[in-house]
Amino acid sequence: MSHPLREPTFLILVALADAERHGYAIIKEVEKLSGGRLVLGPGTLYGALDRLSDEGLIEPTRTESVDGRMRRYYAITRSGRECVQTEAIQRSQVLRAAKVRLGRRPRGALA
Amino acid sequence: MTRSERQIRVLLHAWPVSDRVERGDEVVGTSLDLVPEGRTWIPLSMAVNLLAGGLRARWRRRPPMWWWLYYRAGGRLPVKWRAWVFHDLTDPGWLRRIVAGRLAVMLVNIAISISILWPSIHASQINHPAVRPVWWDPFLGTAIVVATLVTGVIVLVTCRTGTKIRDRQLGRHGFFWPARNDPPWPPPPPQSTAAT
Repeated sequence: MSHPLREPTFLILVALADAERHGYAIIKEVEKLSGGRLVLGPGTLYGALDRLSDEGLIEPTRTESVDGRMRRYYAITRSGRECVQTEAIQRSQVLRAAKVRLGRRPRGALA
Repeated sequence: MTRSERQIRVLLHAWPVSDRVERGDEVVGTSLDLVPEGRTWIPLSMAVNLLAGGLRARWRRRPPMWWWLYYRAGGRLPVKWRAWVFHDLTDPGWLRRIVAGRLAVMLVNIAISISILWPSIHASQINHPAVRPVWWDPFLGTAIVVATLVTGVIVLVTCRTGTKIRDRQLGRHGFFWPARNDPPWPPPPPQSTAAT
Protein backbone atom coordinates (compact mmCIF):
# COMPACT_ATOMS: atom_id res chain seq x y z
CA MET A 1 0.00 0.00 0.00
CA SER A 2 1.53 3.30 -1.05
CA HIS A 3 -1.14 5.74 0.19
CA PRO A 4 -1.15 6.69 3.88
CA LEU A 5 -3.66 4.90 6.09
CA ARG A 6 -6.56 6.82 7.53
CA GLU A 7 -6.79 7.04 11.31
CA PRO A 8 -9.55 4.41 11.87
CA THR A 9 -7.89 1.96 9.47
CA PHE A 10 -4.51 2.37 11.15
CA LEU A 11 -6.02 1.90 14.61
CA ILE A 12 -7.90 -1.23 13.52
CA LEU A 13 -4.66 -2.73 12.23
CA VAL A 14 -2.86 -1.78 15.45
CA ALA A 15 -5.71 -3.35 17.46
CA LEU A 16 -5.20 -6.61 15.58
CA ALA A 17 -1.40 -6.50 15.75
CA ASP A 18 -1.05 -8.55 18.95
CA ALA A 19 -4.10 -10.84 18.85
CA GLU A 20 -7.06 -11.88 16.75
CA ARG A 21 -10.25 -10.07 17.72
CA HIS A 22 -13.94 -9.97 16.82
CA GLY A 23 -15.87 -6.86 15.80
CA TYR A 24 -16.97 -5.68 19.24
CA ALA A 25 -13.48 -6.27 20.72
CA ILE A 26 -11.93 -4.26 17.85
CA ILE A 27 -14.29 -1.33 18.53
CA LYS A 28 -13.38 -1.35 22.24
CA GLU A 29 -9.63 -1.67 21.52
CA VAL A 30 -9.73 1.22 19.02
CA GLU A 31 -11.55 3.34 21.59
CA LYS A 32 -8.85 2.52 24.17
CA LEU A 33 -5.99 3.18 21.73
CA SER A 34 -7.40 6.57 20.76
CA GLY A 35 -8.04 7.55 24.37
CA GLY A 36 -11.81 7.53 23.85
CA ARG A 37 -11.53 9.97 20.96
CA LEU A 38 -12.64 7.52 18.28
CA VAL A 39 -15.66 5.25 18.75
CA LEU A 40 -16.34 3.24 15.59
CA GLY A 41 -19.90 2.47 14.60
CA PRO A 42 -20.72 -0.95 13.12
CA GLY A 43 -21.16 0.50 9.63
CA THR A 44 -17.73 2.15 9.70
CA LEU A 45 -16.08 -0.92 11.24
CA TYR A 46 -17.38 -3.44 8.72
CA GLY A 47 -16.67 -1.14 5.79
CA ALA A 48 -13.05 -0.87 6.95
CA LEU A 49 -12.77 -4.63 7.64
CA ASP A 50 -14.14 -5.33 4.18
CA ARG A 51 -11.58 -3.05 2.53
CA LEU A 52 -8.71 -4.43 4.59
CA SER A 53 -9.72 -8.01 3.72
CA ASP A 54 -9.85 -7.11 0.02
CA GLU A 55 -6.36 -5.63 0.26
CA GLY A 56 -5.08 -8.76 2.03
CA LEU A 57 -4.08 -6.90 5.20
CA ILE A 58 -6.36 -8.90 7.51
CA GLU A 59 -8.20 -12.21 7.24
CA PRO A 60 -11.12 -13.83 9.04
CA THR A 61 -9.98 -16.77 11.14
CA ARG A 62 -12.95 -18.39 12.93
CA THR A 63 -16.51 -17.81 14.02
CA GLU A 64 -18.30 -18.56 17.26
CA SER A 65 -21.72 -17.94 18.75
CA VAL A 66 -21.99 -16.26 22.16
CA ASP A 67 -25.51 -15.93 23.66
CA GLY A 68 -26.93 -16.47 20.19
CA ARG A 69 -24.81 -13.63 18.74
CA MET A 70 -22.44 -14.53 15.96
CA ARG A 71 -18.83 -13.39 16.27
CA ARG A 72 -16.18 -13.61 13.58
CA TYR A 73 -12.55 -13.20 14.52
CA TYR A 74 -10.04 -11.32 12.37
CA ALA A 75 -6.24 -11.58 12.36
CA ILE A 76 -3.60 -9.42 10.77
CA THR A 77 -1.65 -10.91 7.85
CA ARG A 78 2.06 -10.64 7.16
CA SER A 79 1.54 -7.79 4.66
CA GLY A 80 -0.78 -6.08 7.15
CA ARG A 81 1.96 -6.23 9.78
CA GLU A 82 4.48 -4.74 7.31
CA CYS A 83 1.98 -2.01 6.45
CA VAL A 84 1.51 -1.09 10.14
CA GLN A 85 5.28 -1.02 10.66
CA THR A 86 5.83 1.30 7.69
CA GLU A 87 3.01 3.58 8.80
CA ALA A 88 4.24 3.63 12.41
CA ILE A 89 7.75 4.64 11.30
CA GLN A 90 6.38 7.43 9.12
CA ARG A 91 4.12 8.71 11.89
CA SER A 92 6.92 8.61 14.46
CA GLN A 93 9.14 10.64 12.10
CA VAL A 94 6.42 13.28 11.75
CA LEU A 95 5.91 13.25 15.51
CA ARG A 96 9.64 13.72 16.15
CA ALA A 97 9.79 16.60 13.67
CA ALA A 98 6.75 18.22 15.31
CA LYS A 99 8.32 17.95 18.76
CA VAL A 100 11.58 19.50 17.53
CA ARG A 101 9.76 22.38 15.85
CA LEU A 102 7.50 23.04 18.81
CA GLY A 103 10.52 23.05 21.08
CA ARG A 104 12.24 25.77 19.03
CA ARG A 105 11.84 29.40 19.94
CA PRO A 106 9.43 31.03 17.46
CA ARG A 107 11.30 32.92 14.73
CA GLY A 108 11.25 36.70 15.28
CA ALA A 109 10.12 36.47 18.92
CA LEU A 110 11.70 38.85 21.42
CA ALA A 111 13.59 37.62 24.52
CA MET B 1 -36.20 -11.47 18.28
CA THR B 2 -35.89 -8.31 20.40
CA ARG B 3 -37.04 -4.91 19.20
CA SER B 4 -33.43 -3.68 18.84
CA GLU B 5 -32.53 -6.67 16.69
CA ARG B 6 -35.55 -6.07 14.49
CA GLN B 7 -34.55 -2.43 14.00
CA ILE B 8 -30.98 -3.42 13.09
CA ARG B 9 -32.19 -6.05 10.62
CA VAL B 10 -34.47 -3.50 8.94
CA LEU B 11 -31.55 -1.08 8.58
CA LEU B 12 -29.41 -3.85 7.11
CA HIS B 13 -31.59 -3.70 4.00
CA ALA B 14 -29.46 -0.71 3.02
CA TRP B 15 -26.55 -3.17 2.60
CA PRO B 16 -25.92 -5.19 -0.55
CA VAL B 17 -27.59 -8.61 -0.54
CA SER B 18 -24.23 -10.41 -0.70
CA ASP B 19 -23.06 -8.59 2.45
CA ARG B 20 -26.30 -9.34 4.25
CA VAL B 21 -25.97 -13.05 3.46
CA GLU B 22 -22.27 -13.21 4.28
CA ARG B 23 -22.05 -11.12 7.44
CA GLY B 24 -25.56 -9.96 8.35
CA ASP B 25 -25.67 -12.01 11.59
CA GLU B 26 -22.20 -10.81 12.52
CA VAL B 27 -23.14 -7.12 12.07
CA VAL B 28 -26.33 -7.71 14.08
CA GLY B 29 -24.35 -9.39 16.88
CA THR B 30 -21.78 -6.58 17.10
CA SER B 31 -24.46 -3.89 16.94
CA LEU B 32 -26.47 -5.55 19.72
CA ASP B 33 -23.30 -5.66 21.85
CA LEU B 34 -23.05 -1.88 21.38
CA VAL B 35 -26.67 -1.12 22.36
CA PRO B 36 -26.72 0.05 26.01
CA GLU B 37 -28.33 -2.40 28.43
CA GLY B 38 -32.07 -1.96 28.88
CA ARG B 39 -32.65 0.14 25.76
CA THR B 40 -35.31 -1.03 23.35
CA TRP B 41 -34.47 1.53 20.65
CA ILE B 42 -31.02 1.58 19.12
CA PRO B 43 -29.17 4.94 19.37
CA LEU B 44 -29.81 7.30 16.47
CA SER B 45 -26.07 7.58 15.75
CA MET B 46 -25.89 3.80 15.28
CA ALA B 47 -28.89 3.82 12.94
CA VAL B 48 -27.28 6.54 10.81
CA ASN B 49 -23.94 4.70 10.86
CA LEU B 50 -25.54 1.43 9.74
CA LEU B 51 -27.39 3.18 6.91
CA ALA B 52 -24.31 5.08 5.77
CA GLY B 53 -22.18 1.92 5.98
CA GLY B 54 -24.68 0.05 3.82
CA LEU B 55 -24.79 2.78 1.19
CA ARG B 56 -20.99 2.99 1.13
CA ALA B 57 -20.80 -0.81 0.73
CA ARG B 58 -23.27 -0.64 -2.16
CA TRP B 59 -21.24 2.11 -3.79
CA ARG B 60 -17.99 0.16 -3.32
CA ARG B 61 -19.45 -2.99 -4.90
CA ARG B 62 -20.58 -1.13 -8.00
CA PRO B 63 -18.40 -0.70 -11.07
CA PRO B 64 -17.36 2.90 -11.83
CA MET B 65 -19.78 4.95 -13.93
CA TRP B 66 -18.13 4.42 -17.33
CA TRP B 67 -17.85 0.68 -16.79
CA TRP B 68 -21.51 0.67 -15.67
CA LEU B 69 -22.61 2.48 -18.85
CA TYR B 70 -20.56 0.07 -20.96
CA TYR B 71 -22.25 -2.86 -19.19
CA ARG B 72 -25.69 -1.30 -19.64
CA ALA B 73 -24.97 -0.90 -23.34
CA GLY B 74 -24.37 -4.66 -23.50
CA GLY B 75 -20.65 -4.92 -22.70
CA ARG B 76 -18.91 -7.46 -20.49
CA LEU B 77 -17.39 -6.32 -17.20
CA PRO B 78 -14.07 -7.58 -15.76
CA VAL B 79 -14.24 -10.61 -13.47
CA LYS B 80 -13.96 -8.60 -10.22
CA TRP B 81 -17.52 -7.32 -10.71
CA ARG B 82 -18.97 -10.74 -11.56
CA ALA B 83 -20.76 -11.08 -8.22
CA TRP B 84 -22.28 -7.62 -8.65
CA VAL B 85 -23.49 -8.57 -12.15
CA PHE B 86 -25.15 -11.71 -10.82
CA HIS B 87 -27.04 -9.81 -8.13
CA ASP B 88 -27.90 -7.00 -10.52
CA LEU B 89 -29.52 -9.44 -12.93
CA THR B 90 -31.20 -11.81 -10.49
CA ASP B 91 -32.27 -9.77 -7.44
CA PRO B 92 -35.82 -8.36 -7.37
CA GLY B 93 -36.14 -5.25 -9.54
CA TRP B 94 -33.77 -6.51 -12.26
CA LEU B 95 -36.13 -5.45 -15.09
CA ARG B 96 -36.47 -1.97 -13.62
CA ARG B 97 -32.67 -1.70 -13.48
CA ILE B 98 -32.28 -2.88 -17.08
CA VAL B 99 -34.83 -0.30 -18.31
CA ALA B 100 -33.21 2.47 -16.25
CA GLY B 101 -29.80 1.46 -17.62
CA ARG B 102 -31.03 1.62 -21.23
CA LEU B 103 -32.44 5.08 -20.59
CA ALA B 104 -29.18 6.20 -19.00
CA VAL B 105 -27.25 5.02 -22.07
CA MET B 106 -29.71 6.91 -24.27
CA LEU B 107 -29.32 10.09 -22.21
CA VAL B 108 -25.54 9.89 -22.49
CA ASN B 109 -25.87 9.47 -26.26
CA ILE B 110 -28.14 12.53 -26.45
CA ALA B 111 -25.75 14.55 -24.28
CA ILE B 112 -22.80 13.64 -26.51
CA SER B 113 -24.82 14.46 -29.68
CA ILE B 114 -25.88 17.86 -28.30
CA SER B 115 -22.33 18.69 -27.24
CA ILE B 116 -21.15 17.91 -30.79
CA LEU B 117 -23.99 19.83 -32.43
CA TRP B 118 -23.86 22.76 -29.99
CA PRO B 119 -21.52 24.98 -32.05
CA SER B 120 -23.90 24.90 -35.05
CA ILE B 121 -26.94 25.55 -32.81
CA HIS B 122 -25.15 28.45 -31.22
CA ALA B 123 -24.14 29.85 -34.64
CA SER B 124 -27.78 29.72 -35.85
CA GLN B 125 -28.82 31.73 -32.77
CA ILE B 126 -26.23 34.38 -33.62
CA ASN B 127 -27.34 34.55 -37.27
CA HIS B 128 -30.98 35.01 -36.23
CA PRO B 129 -30.81 37.41 -33.34
CA ALA B 130 -34.59 37.73 -33.03
CA VAL B 131 -35.38 36.95 -29.40
CA ARG B 132 -37.31 33.71 -29.19
CA PRO B 133 -37.73 31.29 -26.32
CA VAL B 134 -35.17 28.56 -26.82
CA TRP B 135 -37.77 25.76 -26.67
CA TRP B 136 -39.53 27.33 -29.63
CA ASP B 137 -36.57 26.61 -31.85
CA PRO B 138 -37.73 24.07 -34.46
CA PHE B 139 -34.52 22.07 -34.13
CA LEU B 140 -34.85 21.68 -30.37
CA GLY B 141 -38.61 21.10 -30.62
CA THR B 142 -38.09 18.28 -33.10
CA ALA B 143 -35.28 16.86 -30.99
CA ILE B 144 -37.46 16.82 -27.86
CA VAL B 145 -40.33 15.07 -29.69
CA VAL B 146 -37.96 12.52 -31.22
CA ALA B 147 -36.25 11.91 -27.87
CA THR B 148 -39.61 11.35 -26.16
CA LEU B 149 -40.69 8.89 -28.85
CA VAL B 150 -37.36 7.05 -28.75
CA THR B 151 -37.57 6.86 -24.93
CA GLY B 152 -41.03 5.33 -25.14
CA VAL B 153 -39.92 2.80 -27.75
CA ILE B 154 -36.83 1.86 -25.70
CA VAL B 155 -38.89 1.35 -22.52
CA LEU B 156 -41.48 -0.77 -24.36
CA VAL B 157 -38.96 -2.89 -26.25
CA THR B 158 -36.79 -3.38 -23.15
CA CYS B 159 -39.79 -4.47 -21.07
CA ARG B 160 -40.78 -6.95 -23.81
CA THR B 161 -37.29 -8.38 -24.28
CA GLY B 162 -35.99 -7.96 -20.70
CA THR B 163 -35.64 -11.71 -20.07
CA LYS B 164 -33.60 -12.19 -23.24
CA ILE B 165 -31.35 -9.24 -22.35
CA ARG B 166 -30.82 -10.69 -18.88
CA ASP B 167 -30.05 -14.21 -20.14
CA ARG B 168 -27.61 -12.84 -22.70
CA GLN B 169 -25.80 -10.74 -20.09
CA LEU B 170 -25.66 -13.64 -17.64
CA GLY B 171 -24.21 -15.88 -20.36
CA ARG B 172 -21.71 -13.19 -21.32
CA HIS B 173 -20.45 -13.10 -17.74
CA GLY B 174 -20.08 -16.86 -17.53
CA PHE B 175 -23.25 -17.79 -15.67
CA PHE B 176 -25.30 -20.77 -16.69
CA TRP B 177 -28.89 -19.70 -17.00
CA PRO B 178 -31.37 -22.21 -18.39
CA ALA B 179 -33.60 -21.05 -21.23
CA ARG B 180 -37.28 -21.07 -20.45
CA ASN B 181 -37.89 -24.20 -22.56
CA ASP B 182 -35.00 -26.21 -21.08
CA PRO B 183 -35.91 -29.24 -18.97
CA PRO B 184 -35.53 -28.66 -15.21
CA TRP B 185 -32.12 -29.31 -13.69
CA PRO B 186 -31.39 -31.48 -11.75
CA PRO B 187 -33.86 -33.89 -13.37
CA PRO B 188 -36.60 -35.23 -11.09
CA PRO B 189 -36.00 -38.73 -9.69
CA PRO B 190 -37.57 -41.53 -11.79
CA GLN B 191 -41.04 -42.58 -10.70
CA SER B 192 -41.25 -46.08 -9.29
CA THR B 193 -43.39 -48.18 -11.66
CA ALA B 194 -42.93 -51.60 -10.02
CA ALA B 195 -46.28 -53.20 -9.38
CA THR B 196 -46.72 -54.84 -6.03
